[in-house]
Amino acid sequence: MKHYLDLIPLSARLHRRQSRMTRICIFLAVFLVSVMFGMADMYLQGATRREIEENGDWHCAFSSIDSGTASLIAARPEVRESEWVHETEDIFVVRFSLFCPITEVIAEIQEQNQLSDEQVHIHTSLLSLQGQLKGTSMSRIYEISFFLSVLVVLTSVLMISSSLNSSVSQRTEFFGLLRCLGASRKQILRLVRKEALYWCRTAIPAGLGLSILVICLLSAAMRKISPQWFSSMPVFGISFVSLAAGSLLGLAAVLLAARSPARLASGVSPLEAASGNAHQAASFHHAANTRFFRIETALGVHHAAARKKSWLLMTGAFAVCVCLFLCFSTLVDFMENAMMPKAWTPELSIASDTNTCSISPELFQETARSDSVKRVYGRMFAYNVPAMIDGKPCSSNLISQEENQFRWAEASLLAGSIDAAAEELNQVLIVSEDADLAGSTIILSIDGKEHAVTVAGVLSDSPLARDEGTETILCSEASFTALTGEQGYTILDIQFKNSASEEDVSYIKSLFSGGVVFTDSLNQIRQQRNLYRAFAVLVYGFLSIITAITVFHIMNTIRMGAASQTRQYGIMRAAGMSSRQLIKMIRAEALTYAVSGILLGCFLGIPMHWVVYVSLITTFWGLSWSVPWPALGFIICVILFTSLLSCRGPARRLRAMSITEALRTQ
Amino acid sequence: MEILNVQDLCKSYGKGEAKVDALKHVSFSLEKGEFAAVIGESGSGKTTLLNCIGALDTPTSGQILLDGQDLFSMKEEERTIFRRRSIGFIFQSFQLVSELNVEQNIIFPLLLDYRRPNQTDVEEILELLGLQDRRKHLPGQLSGGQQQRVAIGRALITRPRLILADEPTGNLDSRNSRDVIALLTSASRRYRQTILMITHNRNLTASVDRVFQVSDGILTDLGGTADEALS
Repeated sequence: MKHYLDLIPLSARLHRRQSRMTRICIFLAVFLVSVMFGMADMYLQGATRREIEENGDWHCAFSSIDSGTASLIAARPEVRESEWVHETEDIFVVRFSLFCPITEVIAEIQEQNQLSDEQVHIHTSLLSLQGQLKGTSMSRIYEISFFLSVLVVLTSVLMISSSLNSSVSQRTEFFGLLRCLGASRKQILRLVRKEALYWCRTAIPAGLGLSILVICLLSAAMRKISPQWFSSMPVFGISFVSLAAGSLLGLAAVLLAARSPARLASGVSPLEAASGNAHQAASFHHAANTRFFRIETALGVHHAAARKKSWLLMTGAFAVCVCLFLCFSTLVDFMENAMMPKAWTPELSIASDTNTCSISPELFQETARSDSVKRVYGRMFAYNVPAMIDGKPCSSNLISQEENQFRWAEASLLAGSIDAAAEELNQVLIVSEDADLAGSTIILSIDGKEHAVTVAGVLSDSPLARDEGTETILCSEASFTALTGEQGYTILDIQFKNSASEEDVSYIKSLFSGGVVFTDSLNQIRQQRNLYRAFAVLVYGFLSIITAITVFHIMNTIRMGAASQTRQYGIMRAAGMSSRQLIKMIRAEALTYAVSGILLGCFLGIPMHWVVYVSLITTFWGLSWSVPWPALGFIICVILFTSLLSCRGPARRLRAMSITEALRTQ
Repeated sequence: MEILNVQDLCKSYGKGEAKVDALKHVSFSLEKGEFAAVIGESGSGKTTLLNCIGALDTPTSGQILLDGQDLFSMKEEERTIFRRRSIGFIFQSFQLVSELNVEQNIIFPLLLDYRRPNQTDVEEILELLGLQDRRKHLPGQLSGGQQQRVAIGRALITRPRLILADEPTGNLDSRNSRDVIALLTSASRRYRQTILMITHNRNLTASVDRVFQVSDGILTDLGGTADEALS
């Protein structure tokens, strides 16, 4: 040993078990950040490559400009490359340096050269992918990704910090001894910081290594699952951005996390080296409240709440876990809305080419009988039916629906009943924002005859309400036939079983001998489902890792907390505390951390969830925010259950330890 | 009336060549209200003996009867409850619960028993210990002598049949040591409690009824005070 810092590897070897959780925390933080950045980088590399292949590697094209203007533009320092492209007209395309504000430069060029908007064509999709366009959906997604990675780093900081804190408070007397032997506060600060960095030596490379492997596997899986979207993703690409981000954020998290424990260690008085009750003065400032709770509960709550700094740290760490889970859970909604085909999406649509009810019910039956078909739903259309709604004349489309379609409509029911329309004759549904229409009567003029129908229910929206200015009225097939006399279908929508192939689609097509138009989207829908599944694996994988981090963290914290108080527990047992009371006390302590963490987590996490939800979901799909009860309930259950479960280990260890042994523990 | 009866007590640590016999076939008994001291060199087995009698540690073999009840035939939970009602402990390093104040530390065994402390008893003990004006202080705010007095109060509050004191004056100066021994003697006389005390200090054996010596795990009954017996 040549230097006092050489103590670190020696102490690390001795305390390998104690530092295991800290190393796991660093490893998980680095892994999570690297995979997040890596996958985003791989996707962007692939999407940029595809965009360049399909539409060219240029940022802005100028049409109808003379060569003088072109050379002026080309001479600008921001322009990396430029050339003339000869298509229907001469176009001058330009590629800018990515380190300049491209949109501002384009605006400047346009102004300086007095070019009209028609002469300037910005490659919006490429610039958006390269993060150069502000306010686009892509830049919004980048902002949210950045926000989520900050949350991941924050979680890591809190976890590593509380883990280091526990480890430091377990070795108070060791630091006291060092101070006794002449170590200065600064030297202790350096020792703790270096110790934290020492753990990074193995944890960061391990996190990065696994992230490279996972990124490669995920990229390969995504290429395979959805070639339509991800065929351009690199196969064995290494994302240097992710490696840099993982290492830097990992190091930053460790250094930030080590600040408070380092200060704690350096503040240890040399008196602590003397065993006994010397450290008691510093630990507690007021006595436990034994008036309202039983002694073991009072002591458990007091253990948790009395040390303000460590309580705040623990509460913060638990709260960040809640926030992280809630924020990431919005990705599930995002994914569902962005990728999952709606339940009613047909894989093959067969429409009458005359828009009449020309498809016979026999053909419907025959299609439904095919083994490969999962579901067929037909619709009968009567277009431009004159109607009198609420005393006002208007035009309407009368559409029949079957059982499945009525069921799907339930989600948009504003007033009234779906069942009445599905089961009773001359009862209809209307698509309108006016809920008061429920129960009113509509007069329909069909083939010169007037028919009175009752509005059984009002729907806020329907995928069939497409014509502006024309009301959409939905009824059962029986009502449609009774009103119009028609029995055939205008459109048949078909969903196939998973095992269905192109031949099955061809077979269905062959049943129809003309008079219909086919829209075959089987492949596209399957790709979309695969894409959804791929993302689902990714998002749920992330959520599982976050849950695992939460579980690890809680278990580690409670285990280390209990270990650091072994002697105190020994004293209590010597004074007559039973094992059952000891377990209750550890549980009370764990639940104090958990409940305060959950409360703070809800206080911060619900508004955060709102921000992410509004940015990702409301902005794109107009869905309104509501409290995420399932996600919240799940993470609360995980935290409470894990907290209680993590008491078992320490309790068992303490029970197995004789009181004299516990009293000897430092 | 016999309170404590120790029969053929043995305690060994380790296995094979590393095996150490800390106690070798120790047998003795103590009467109600007797104040006994155990003396011996460091590592002779004094503390092991006390820990076994107090059920803080499990003996390898032998029997310990407290008020006629075999401590180690009880289940763990039952033994803990019996211990907190029948045995009071006083340790060299006080072993107070750092987050409880003086009064709470004293009534701690009662609180563990979910019993409401009798305020008159608490006041009496606080007065006996001279700690009335320190009742709300935390252990960290007390001197060593005061902390040891709190530990004595905690050992007295349940009126246990047996008090075990492991070097109760080991961390105290001579004045505080004298005070502590005086307190223990007066408790022994006042409440007719049996006290077994370990000490290094032969001078402290002057006020005890019996002295035992432990040497290399073997206990010898020296009879009256150590000086008397050794002379």
